[in-house]
Amino acid sequence: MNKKFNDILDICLERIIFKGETVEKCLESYPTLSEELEPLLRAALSASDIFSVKPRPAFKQAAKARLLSTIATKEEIEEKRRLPSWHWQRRWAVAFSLALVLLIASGSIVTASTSSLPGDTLYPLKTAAEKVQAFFTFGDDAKANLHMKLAERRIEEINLLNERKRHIPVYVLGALQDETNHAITILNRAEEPKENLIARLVDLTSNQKTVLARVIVNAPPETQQRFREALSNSETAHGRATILRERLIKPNIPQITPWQHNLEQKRFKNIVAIERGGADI
Amino acid sequence: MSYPAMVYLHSSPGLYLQLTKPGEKPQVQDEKALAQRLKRRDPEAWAWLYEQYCAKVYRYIVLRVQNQTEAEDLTEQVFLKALESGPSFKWRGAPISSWLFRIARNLVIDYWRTDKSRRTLPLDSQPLRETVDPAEKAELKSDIQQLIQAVEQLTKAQREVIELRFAAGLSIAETAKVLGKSQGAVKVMQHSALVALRKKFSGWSNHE
Repeated sequence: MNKKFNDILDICLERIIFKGETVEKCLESYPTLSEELEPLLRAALSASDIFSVKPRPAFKQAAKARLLSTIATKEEIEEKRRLPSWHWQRRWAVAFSLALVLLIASGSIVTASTSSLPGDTLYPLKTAAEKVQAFFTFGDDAKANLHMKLAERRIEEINLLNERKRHIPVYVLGALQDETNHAITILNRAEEPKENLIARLVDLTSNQKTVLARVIVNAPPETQQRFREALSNSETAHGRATILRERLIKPNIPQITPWQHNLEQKRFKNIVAIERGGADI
Repeated sequence: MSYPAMVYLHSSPGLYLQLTKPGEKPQVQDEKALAQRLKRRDPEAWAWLYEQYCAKVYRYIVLRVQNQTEAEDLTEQVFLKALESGPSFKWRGAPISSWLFRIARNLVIDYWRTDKSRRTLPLDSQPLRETVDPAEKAELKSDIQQLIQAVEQLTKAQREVIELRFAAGLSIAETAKVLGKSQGAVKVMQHSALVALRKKFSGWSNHE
């Protein structure tokens, strides 16, 4: 009897609290038990009603964004782990480099990999070949040229992935920033940087801004933040490239020291914010 | 965030997971697919899980810690801990919600265990259901206070059943899984808890 009553009590609770039926309607189904059931059902209904507190919408939204951002970060780490690591043992890197040089000489696979995109099977081979190329590139101008070429390649890949509606892994954004920063660092420390290289850097960073601004709208919510950061970085890089060009015209402008770079970065972000009508100064 | 009535999420060719809008429970066959996607850290599946359970987890926690800031922090931790343990999670037929609430329950236990001197905030600073009328708000605060006091007088097992069933909105099956008890035992506890609450809480008459 008691077991049966508990079962009926639970059936009524499901109908009233979770399906929105009225107490009266439910009691009609069990007239012989209604006297015993009613006070318990009303007690449960009141408890459920009183307990219906809600989290603050701002908290709910912020916590969700943090959760999705954590997922994106973990994915990025996993993807990096899946890629061949060239930094952990130099000896292995050199040995592998030589092997790859032979492959480059023979052509076929590497040639095939040049058109691969992030996420493709041959893409790790493409980036590995690039690392070998960087390893055997000497002289500041040549190195700056190569880093710019690789940055152009990354932005082209991002553009193609976007056009083909494919997923853009966030590590490509990191690689883009690394290559651009390497080029800027080399050109910034050069006593007499070549005009054509600086002009190429200005064009490159300008193109980065355009492509990233176009791509960001299609990025999934969990990577939006990363894309915004990448866009902000490209804007900063463009600001630095512009300063380098100004220095060519007015040679008395000193080189950008790290603290000046930070200051410049803040200044440039403010300019961008003002241009967007959302300055937060 | 608005949801269409049905959201179809493709996970792999030929396999799809039919997800319901928040408030509706997924079908059993969907639970397995959902578990697989959560294990793979599929952002869409995690976003859905969060939308479905954030408010329920929060309600369960805020009533147990009675502090808004701590409840928010613990709610966020529940999902982050679930994410951490996701890859090692093995679906054995139990609802996903019971896994989530087991994490919530353990976090609350640890919360009280690590610092017994914790104090609750007065109810004035507690988040309440959205009410516009100040008189209704005051009455609601008084009801919550009375209800919390009444719930605190129940046995630990009865209290947990009331919180999981009527604050978190879990089913008998889900509650049984969280507590590691049979459904029959949970129904017995639910009955005795409601009888005890009915006797202890004078405010019921206002709601009848």
